[in-house]
Amino acid sequence: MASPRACFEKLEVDVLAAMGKPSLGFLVALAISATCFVVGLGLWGYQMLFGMGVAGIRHPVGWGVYITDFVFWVGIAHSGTLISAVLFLFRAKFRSRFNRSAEAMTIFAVMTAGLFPLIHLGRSWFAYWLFPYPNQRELWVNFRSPLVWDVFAVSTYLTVSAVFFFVGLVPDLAVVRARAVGIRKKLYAAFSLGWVGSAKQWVHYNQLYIFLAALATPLVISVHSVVSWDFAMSIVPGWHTTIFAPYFVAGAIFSGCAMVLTLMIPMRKILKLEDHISISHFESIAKILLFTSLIVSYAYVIEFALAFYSGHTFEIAHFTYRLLGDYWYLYALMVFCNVLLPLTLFARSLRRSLTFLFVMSIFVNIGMWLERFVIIVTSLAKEYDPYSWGTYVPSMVEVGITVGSFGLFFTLFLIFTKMLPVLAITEVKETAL
Amino acid sequence: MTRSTNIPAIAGGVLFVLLAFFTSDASVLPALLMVAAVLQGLYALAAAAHLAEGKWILPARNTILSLHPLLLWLPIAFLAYSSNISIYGWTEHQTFWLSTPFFIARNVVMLLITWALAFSFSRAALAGSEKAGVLAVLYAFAFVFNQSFIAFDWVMTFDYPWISTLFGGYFFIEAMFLGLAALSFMAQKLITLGKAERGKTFMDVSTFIFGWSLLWAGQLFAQFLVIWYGNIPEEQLFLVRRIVDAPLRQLAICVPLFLFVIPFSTLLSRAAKASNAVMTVIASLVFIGVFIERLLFIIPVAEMNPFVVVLALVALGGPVANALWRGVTEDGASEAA
Amino acid sequence: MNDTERRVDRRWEFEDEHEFLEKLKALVDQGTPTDLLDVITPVPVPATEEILKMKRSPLRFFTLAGALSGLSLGFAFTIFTVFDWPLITGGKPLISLPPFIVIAFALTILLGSLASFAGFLILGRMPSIKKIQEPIEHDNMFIILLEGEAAQ
Repeated sequence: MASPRACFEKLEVDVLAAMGKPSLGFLVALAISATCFVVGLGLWGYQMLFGMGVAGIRHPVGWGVYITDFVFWVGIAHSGTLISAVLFLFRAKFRSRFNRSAEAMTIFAVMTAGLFPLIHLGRSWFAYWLFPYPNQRELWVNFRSPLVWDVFAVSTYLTVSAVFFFVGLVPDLAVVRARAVGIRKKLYAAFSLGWVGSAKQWVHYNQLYIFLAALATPLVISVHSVVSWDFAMSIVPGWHTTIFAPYFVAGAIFSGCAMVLTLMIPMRKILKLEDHISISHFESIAKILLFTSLIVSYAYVIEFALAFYSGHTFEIAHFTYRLLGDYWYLYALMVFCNVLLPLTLFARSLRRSLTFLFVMSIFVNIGMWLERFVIIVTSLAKEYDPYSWGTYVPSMVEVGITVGSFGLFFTLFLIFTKMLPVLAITEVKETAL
Repeated sequence: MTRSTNIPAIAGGVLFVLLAFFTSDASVLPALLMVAAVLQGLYALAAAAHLAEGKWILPARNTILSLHPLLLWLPIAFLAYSSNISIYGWTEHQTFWLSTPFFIARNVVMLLITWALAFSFSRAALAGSEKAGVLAVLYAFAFVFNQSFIAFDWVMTFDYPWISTLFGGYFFIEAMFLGLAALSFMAQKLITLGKAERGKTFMDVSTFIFGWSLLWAGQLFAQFLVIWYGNIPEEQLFLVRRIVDAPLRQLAICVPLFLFVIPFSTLLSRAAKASNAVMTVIASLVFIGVFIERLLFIIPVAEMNPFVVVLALVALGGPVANALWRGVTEDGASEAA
Repeated sequence: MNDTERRVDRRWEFEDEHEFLEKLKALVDQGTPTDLLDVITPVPVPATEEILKMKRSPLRFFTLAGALSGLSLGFAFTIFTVFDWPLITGGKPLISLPPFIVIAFALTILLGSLASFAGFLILGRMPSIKKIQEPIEHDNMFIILLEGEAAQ
């Protein structure tokens, strides 16, 4: 059997090879996603110039695609923290193949999500009003509002995820520094903070990692609960329901795991990391996908069942509208993608087919985006008063900005694959010992 | 299960059935809720550990898997309890879903299915068969739906037309919480018998309880916050009846105190997680806290006789405690941690 | 204090972590003072802590301090603001604890994490300008360093 050193060297060479000179394919992908982002940015500028009317948001549906995108991207972020923190506490070894990329995905997703409240504000230059600071208006922010809880929860989430990501990177940056030359060496040396790997440093490092994991775990549950309370704190039928917190958290992990699969299945092939990420590792992610899909399905069933059980006119009317009303086809597609399709993962052969998992992950992403859209729009389209019923159609500006957000996310992720090791080298070495 | 566990179980079960028939109020319900939660929760933990290939449960696993005969008592106990079904207000204006025969039938069937799956899972797991994985998944489904039915049917219908979609989830999280508390007691005994290691099984269970208390608190808060914030009269009445006036107010404060504040703050320390004395107190508080909460659900809406409540708890819960105690003592086939 | 900047007299390098641990144990058993010994490893080797009789990291005090200050700050700030400009919104009481719990929870986690990170930097003596300019590499070897004149 090869010595640990030989295994370590091979791992380093394989992972760091990905950080070499960009190929044509990489540059094309980067160009496409960057273009999408720039177009989205331009459309945002257009919206700032001409006002929110260029978006499709009207009375009564005052929240549309922008809020859908916000919840969608925050949800995607959660899976990264689950893989990093929660699976660490459960001592699941397979996590070391995914956690670096998943954590990067988390940070980029939260950054992307954070843009949407700004976009949705319209007058984005007043965004600082959301932060509590002493001002001559003698007005503090309304801490009783779920939107302010969002500010705190999502900012905390971004900060803690960034710290967690960086801390995990420190030994790996030392690895990159050892093999780099010139100015790159100096940069990586600076960011690795002079990491040596002495016994004392490892002791403090391990403690820090455990505590960050322990702190990040309640964050996984609380952040998306807070986001769900943006809706649940209202008294709108379809929104005002107690199950929203765990339902949204499960949905977030569900969509996040799907995005991990979407990113890492091609990445493994393109960067030739087949030796280091096996099909069994992907199977473990597929199992989490299946489990969270079941929780989401349970929530769908319970919501419907209890609405009809309660005999409340408005609850029954709303859920009938969701199933059979203006947006019935979106609801049907959503149920297919989130409930029915993942059931196929009970079959072991399908769990172990990377092509199948990749295709499924795309469908799940679509399904989860639709779920947020359906929840938001159907509840607002038909509230209590028939006089104020209406519908909503996203405008091209909203569609363009949504595409732009995907552009931003993939641009950041592509840049990440070139600048930082996509596998947690040190952690994989540890599991190999 | 052996003679030493079967006889108390039958005696206790008969006593419970007699109590249910000779009372016409909700007195036997808290006991039924608690025992259903502990038994099904323990099995759920065993099933989850089986699927996740967790080793922490192994010393106690065989004991848990031998509990299925007690699960068979649940449908019988429920049938006896349903002799008092007129305590539910909806029996006076019955609908399709809330009609007496359908209500009784679906709950008995659900309890029987859960028992059957627990039984099959136990057999497969003890034999080391590959089917155990599939049966563990099926049991998990049954557990989730059964606890949800218990929550929505047995408890929530008292407050009809009040609904809380989280209620089912809340009950099965509490069921697993009770299972963990029971496991903590079992782990203590297993260590003195040399069948488990403090550093592994006991610490793992303590850590689980630590994390689970936070998870539970999150669910309590989620339900409370939505009702409090919306302030809708139909929903609010559920809380107002239970947390505004003394003495229920003081009892209600005990619930998050016993189930979250004390366990979480105490178990921050590693030494506390490893200590028998601390874990005895905390596990006991978990049982007491959940029991108080179940009482709180019922007190404002149905009559109960305190003496019968306690007697029913002893009748149905005593054999469970006995089976767990004897199980860890007599079980020679446990695998070490 | 173990500090790899001190004068190093003896150095052993191993490719295999078992040989590394054996040598370390042998050195300690021979009576080498543990504060003269240090190791550099590419991955954490848990047995090292036992052999070198290292104390538990005091990082947890940083975490606790940060978390408690986050908790207090969360409540203190929210309660202060509602008294500073009392405005009733949504019919909720002035000091509405449920929303304030959410804010305090977020700040607990935020300050707990930041304090832990700061503690790590302080306790691990990072960033170290000297080690950034002249990095010490392990080259995937498990290294034992012994300083002092009385090298065994």
